[in-house]
Amino acid sequence: MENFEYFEPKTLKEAVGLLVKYKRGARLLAGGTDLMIEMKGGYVKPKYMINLKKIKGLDKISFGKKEGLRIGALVTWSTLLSSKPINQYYPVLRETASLIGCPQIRNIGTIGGNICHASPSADSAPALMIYEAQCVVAGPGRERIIPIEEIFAGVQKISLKQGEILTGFHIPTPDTESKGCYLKFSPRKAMDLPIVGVGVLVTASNGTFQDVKIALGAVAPTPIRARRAESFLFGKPVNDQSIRKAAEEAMMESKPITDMRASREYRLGLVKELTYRAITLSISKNITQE
Amino acid sequence: MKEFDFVGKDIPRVDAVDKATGNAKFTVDLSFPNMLHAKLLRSPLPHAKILNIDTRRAEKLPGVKAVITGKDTPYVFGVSHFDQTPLQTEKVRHVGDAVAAVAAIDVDIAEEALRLIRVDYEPLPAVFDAVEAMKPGAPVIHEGKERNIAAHASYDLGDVEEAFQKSDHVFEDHFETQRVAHVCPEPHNCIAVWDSSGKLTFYYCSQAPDLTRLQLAKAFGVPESKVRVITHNVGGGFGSRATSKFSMDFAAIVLAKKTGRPVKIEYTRDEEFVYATFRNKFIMDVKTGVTKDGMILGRQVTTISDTGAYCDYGPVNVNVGGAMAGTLYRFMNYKFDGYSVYTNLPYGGAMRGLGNPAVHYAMETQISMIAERLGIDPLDMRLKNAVHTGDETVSGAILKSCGLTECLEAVAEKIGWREKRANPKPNRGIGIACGVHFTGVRLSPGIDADFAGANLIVNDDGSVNLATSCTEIGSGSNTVYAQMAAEVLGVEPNKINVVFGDTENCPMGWGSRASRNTAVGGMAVKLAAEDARKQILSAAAEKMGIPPDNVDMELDIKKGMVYVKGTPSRGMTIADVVKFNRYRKDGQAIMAKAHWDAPSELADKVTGRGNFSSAFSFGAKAIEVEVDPGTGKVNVLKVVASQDVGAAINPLGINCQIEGAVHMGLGYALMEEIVFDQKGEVVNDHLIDYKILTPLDMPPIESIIVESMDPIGPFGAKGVGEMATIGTPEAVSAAVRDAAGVWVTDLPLTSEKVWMALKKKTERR
Amino acid sequence: MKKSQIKIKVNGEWYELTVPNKKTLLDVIREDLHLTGTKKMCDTGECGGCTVIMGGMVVNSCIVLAVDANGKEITTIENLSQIGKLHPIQEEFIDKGAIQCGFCTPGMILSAKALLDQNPNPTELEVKAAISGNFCRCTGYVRIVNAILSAAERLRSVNDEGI
Repeated sequence: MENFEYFEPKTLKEAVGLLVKYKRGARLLAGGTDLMIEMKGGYVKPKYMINLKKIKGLDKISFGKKEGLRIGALVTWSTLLSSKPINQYYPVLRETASLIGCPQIRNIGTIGGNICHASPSADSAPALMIYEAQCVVAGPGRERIIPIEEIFAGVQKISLKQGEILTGFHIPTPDTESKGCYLKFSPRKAMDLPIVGVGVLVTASNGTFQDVKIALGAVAPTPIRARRAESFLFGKPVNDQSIRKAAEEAMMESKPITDMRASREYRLGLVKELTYRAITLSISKNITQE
Repeated sequence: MKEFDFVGKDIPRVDAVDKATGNAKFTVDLSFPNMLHAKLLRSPLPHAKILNIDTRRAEKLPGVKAVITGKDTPYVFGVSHFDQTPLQTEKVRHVGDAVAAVAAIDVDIAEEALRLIRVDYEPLPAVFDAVEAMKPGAPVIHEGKERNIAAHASYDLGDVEEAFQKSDHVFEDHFETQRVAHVCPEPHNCIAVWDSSGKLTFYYCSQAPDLTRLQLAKAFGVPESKVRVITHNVGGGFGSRATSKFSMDFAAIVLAKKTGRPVKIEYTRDEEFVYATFRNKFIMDVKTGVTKDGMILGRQVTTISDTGAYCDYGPVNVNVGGAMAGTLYRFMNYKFDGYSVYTNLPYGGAMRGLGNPAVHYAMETQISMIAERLGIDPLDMRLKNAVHTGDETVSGAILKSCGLTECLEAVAEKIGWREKRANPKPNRGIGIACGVHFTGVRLSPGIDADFAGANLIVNDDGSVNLATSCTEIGSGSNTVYAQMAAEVLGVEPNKINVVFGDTENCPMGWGSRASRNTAVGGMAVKLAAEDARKQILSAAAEKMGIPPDNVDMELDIKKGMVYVKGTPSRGMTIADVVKFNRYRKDGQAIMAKAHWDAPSELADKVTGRGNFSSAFSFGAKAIEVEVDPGTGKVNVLKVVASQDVGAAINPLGINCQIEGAVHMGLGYALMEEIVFDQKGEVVNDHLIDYKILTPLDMPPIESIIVESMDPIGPFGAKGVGEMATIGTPEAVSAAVRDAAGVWVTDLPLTSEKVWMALKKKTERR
Repeated sequence: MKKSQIKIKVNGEWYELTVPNKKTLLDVIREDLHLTGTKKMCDTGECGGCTVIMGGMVVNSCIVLAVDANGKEITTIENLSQIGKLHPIQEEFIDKGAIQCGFCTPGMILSAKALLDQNPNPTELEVKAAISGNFCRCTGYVRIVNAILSAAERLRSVNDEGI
């Protein structure tokens, strides 16, 4: 690992200033669970390391029924897991956090870091997508709000401009009738990346689908929403046939590759199967609630 | 086993306190004043001529103390064949083949220096598949090795063709197993220190310090007395550290000599994955002739094993697989042809069980297949053909103790074999398999020996120093030795201080490999303890005025006290005996030694038959799985493992070994695999993508100990560690078939493979 | 400047050190403080061998920069026992056969400690989850889980007695 100059800015303004000054030679340090591996592997060689953790306010969670959830980029998975509002109103996010890594990783890994690493299989992406999170971005100019989908620019590429820092997420309060889940398919039950990840949020009433969000991870260069599958379900009867057709649609919207973890063919099959299961599972939660 | 005071008891490990507190030292924890750190420069190409190496810029880098290349390391080494040199001069044969080494004041500078070494290569065509490597026109990896065949092991016993003629059915099936890595917790590392007399002390995480010493002395052409190997606690071995066989070792030694300073080399985890050897990949064709009621009449096995760019244990793995394939069942017609083949991949080596787990996977999966085809219960077919105590197998093994039947019946009962087969549940299945492995082995042609040693000193305070030739690599050997010595001497195990790992202070032996610790190492301990006991009793008798002829009749030792039988108050402590014996005119110490050569034979040079081990351990596994048909995921619900260990010296320790071996077996069965890209480079040299099971993935394991009381082994004991690794993948394979109706015959049984098999099955309908 | 001065409290003692910015907490613990109980098993945060307790939570010290640990309180395995007296978790690991080669043991014990400090009555599943980032190649985890559950029971009964 190459050495670097190290900074602990106390304010966002200071951090942004450093980023602007040092440009591509600088890296932001959140939890470090991805960055440290990249540096040790020699893939990334920052000359300037900017530790964000001394900036107040980036690790806070706040919730109001009207305002929704504000979650700072530096909130760790462990903190997220112990948050009552998240547990109550955003259970899929909580479910996602419990499936990430292991205690050591969850104690220092952050939700912002996970998104900014922008892996196609980022575990946090499907949940944030189905809850339609907005990313709050600070930078040299004005604060920007970017819908979560638009922050991904490609494999391990985010669409932030030079000097910009993701400071957190704003997630509207979901419909109280909505139920969802995140299905992560991986060979192991811990310390694993998903071969396919499916996040689903479903609202149904009177036996028809009212609103469905389907987000897929690890099956395209970025995490994606399966919008055609979502549209298909709107107004359709809640039955096996509709769900199977939607799952088929979702499969066709995905663009997985073959890599050492799985083949394209298998991933397509998994998208179909897991989307079907995720919607069915969510619906059954719905029914139980009534 | 009869009731003893310490043998047969669940004594906690004697080294556990140090390990629990972090006080236990491993080689990687050591540091010396003035020590340098070294790194190796490795080839980026899988097969290439070396045209030129220019190290001048590296030598000039501040902090660099020495740079060496192949001309500085003109040594030849190897295991089966001497086909390796530490740093290549002529050509490189795999990605990562070492060509230079740098010693510097820290690792960062050493790594920077590597980047300054310029090597000009001329790429050569490369081959990454053993079958392709054997074809005419394939790149030649080692001159003189036609068709890239490193070795060919064959057995031709009885008359296999006649057996097939007589069979009602002859079945031929194909199987493949993958490369897996040891994943030793402590990465390979060593420290080389030369003293001013020209003697080398080599600190190494070795399973067999004496073998390391012999190899180094031979390679460097120095007397053995000029090489001392010291091993501390070893963070896992599993066969990867059975000998000294890495470029790293030689590089450290030569750099230390050149600089006059201690030199340490440590593998990083990714280097450990790629350059610590693997379990070889095996391709196997098994042809078995059976009667319609399931009696095996003959078997023919052909295997091609990819040994990688250098032999290492490759030929031994094949040989062992071949020998053991003729040791499990009673058929007497057997033909085996095993090829160990070079490819341009990082090389494989010895891993827990050698070639036996792979060959067993093939043989035992086929037995389950055959049973199904014949409409016979797979358990019954195995029981029908199982070997028994007293048998001489087709391979020449003489089974002085054999608990195979008991093992099979035990696991069947525990898992509810009959009931579950009679009442199948959807998507659930059970599979059964059994196996055999040796206890120490005589397989090196030309070395007609398989020995261990023990030296024992009784101290003035009644405690005992026990030096063994075996190494504590985590399997619990030190504890077992303390129990045995304590039992014989009549003292508490915590009075026995077990010393190991120093070739200067410990007796010589073949170390901790081939499942020989308890039985071979333990016998040396028992013999030494018996000798010491005699001395103690003799001295005590002299002091207590008991005639020499009456010693055994009248005296006994318990809890450190020598006493008159029937009159326990009349006696003296061992401490007093020792002091009485020592502090007088013409006094003597209480000291004993033993050297035990396990009673086995080298195989016949022509037929390959031989009783190559003093004892054979047997075992069985029954496994229940649930298969998710939508994803192909195999969920292991329960593993029942039984093992005939002869006699259980430490039942807790045995159960621990079995559980750890099941973890390894499940990895082999379901998810572990070293994967290469098209350039011959490992792509998953890290723990996220080389998948060993986490605690959340482990099913409940029940282990059952069977004691067949081996007549040779100390207290009746036989080997444990490797037999426990055998049986898991084949039982899982059969269980998946039972649950999902598909056979997957190449490991690992990933969810994708099962899903694909299910898809094919659906499409065929 | 590629070096920084840091103050870290390790096992109850403050240390002032000047470290290269890129140096990890693990390397500082092993090389500067000579506490070799914490092991370098993968050096990429993927195995838990380097687990320490920092600020009350388990972390992989190989992916924590020493400069990032400035001002923090760290516990390594060496702190768990006083001379002659082992922590109940250590005793249970020893008694229950949870230790084989011993290389993963320090990290494993600290993960157990962090769990039991927060959750004195864990289920078997919770124990497995707590050590899910600690790899072991020797034991298959069976005895480790048993040892942690036993330790939990012992610690609960000690606390119940108000000792």
